[in-house]
Amino acid sequence: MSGAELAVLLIQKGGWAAVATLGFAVLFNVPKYALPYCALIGALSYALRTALMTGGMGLVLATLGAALLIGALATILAQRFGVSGTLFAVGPAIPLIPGSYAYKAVMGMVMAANAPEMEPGGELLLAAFDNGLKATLTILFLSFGIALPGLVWSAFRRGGADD
Amino acid sequence: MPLADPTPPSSTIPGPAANSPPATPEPASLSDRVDLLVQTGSLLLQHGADAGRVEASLRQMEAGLGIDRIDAIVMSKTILLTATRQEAHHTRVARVPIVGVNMNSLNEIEQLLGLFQQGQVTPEQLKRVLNQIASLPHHYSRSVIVVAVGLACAAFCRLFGGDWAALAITGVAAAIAAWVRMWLNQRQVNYFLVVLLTALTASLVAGSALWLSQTPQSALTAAVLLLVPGVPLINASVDILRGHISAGLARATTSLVVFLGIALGLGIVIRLLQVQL
Repeated sequence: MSGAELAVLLIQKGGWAAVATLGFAVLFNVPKYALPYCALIGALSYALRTALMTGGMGLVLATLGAALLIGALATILAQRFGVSGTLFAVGPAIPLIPGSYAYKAVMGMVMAANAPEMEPGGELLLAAFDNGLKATLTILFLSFGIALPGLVWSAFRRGGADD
Repeated sequence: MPLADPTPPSSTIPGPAANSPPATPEPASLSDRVDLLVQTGSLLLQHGADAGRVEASLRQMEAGLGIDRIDAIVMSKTILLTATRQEAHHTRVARVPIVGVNMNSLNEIEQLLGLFQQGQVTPEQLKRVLNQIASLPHHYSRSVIVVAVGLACAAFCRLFGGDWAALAITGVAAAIAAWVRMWLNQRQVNYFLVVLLTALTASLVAGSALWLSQTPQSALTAAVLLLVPGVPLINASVDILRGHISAGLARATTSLVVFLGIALGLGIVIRLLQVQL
């Protein structure tokens, strides 16, 4: 993939991720002034994850990178507006949640349980387990990545200025 | 903003109280203070705060309420709280109805508590403003939310590689499903039933993509994504990471059941229409 093609892909994915972020931010009653920031963070983080995965990184670690970006930007904005960082982080996190993996895992388990006996290779169970593992770890890394920059910032600040 | 005061974002605070000294709180009854604590904690929890955030907010109120020590256990839908003042102590257990994520309310409450900690708000004012925040209307009307959710799922469909027809169908399906979910939630239907019926609605409508689009799978997958329990899932891992294991496990289990409901609803429709996902 050439550089220009990658740029077009990232802009497209980022744009659609921004729309998805906005939709969920409205559902979560995020105040109007924060919506443009949410959309921007959503676009940047999704584009970063797409770029990392295009570069050969797996879903789990790429999501961690994107989540760290969300956490860092949300912490900066939270300082500027004097509010909690969650306000800016909740919307952008939603497109990164591996929803399709999670319900493929659940659906796979239902299908495996529904089968009269286990098929020779155990393909159904393996696929369900694989999907479930990816979904669980991605969600864990996602929330950890979002929380980490804020934790580091408050620790650093408490050490510096004692307030 | 709860008060009709034009200067955001910290406009919830009436002016004249700013000079009341925080160091000498009048000895109000301990049970009133515990009521106030429980009210604050419940508001935070029911609007989507994680357990650690609720506990931190309660601890923030200790000094301002003249309480020596607060011990709180925050579960996914329950708060247990003991406040100690000198020899006396008072305990309450509160069940918290979960009403849904509301970032605006969380934000208002946090700013209010910040001012309370600085001594710029008296406990009585705190109680009054909390009541105002609790009765704040949603920023966005139901129709705006329905359209927003439809657009969000349509965007997911595009991210999954759907064509324009699939995108339009997903938008309509998700918007109808969002409306159905609100309607059911208003009637206090059991949460699993809400998920199942909403997933059925979304995937039945999205099933029309089989005849109208080249990529029906993307429409079926994206239309149910409005049900993915994003905030509970993130709260679950934040709770577990910060050591609130039982609250985190409760949220994770609820999320798993929600995914089961989504898969069941989608699975029924896929069987009916005989699609391969």
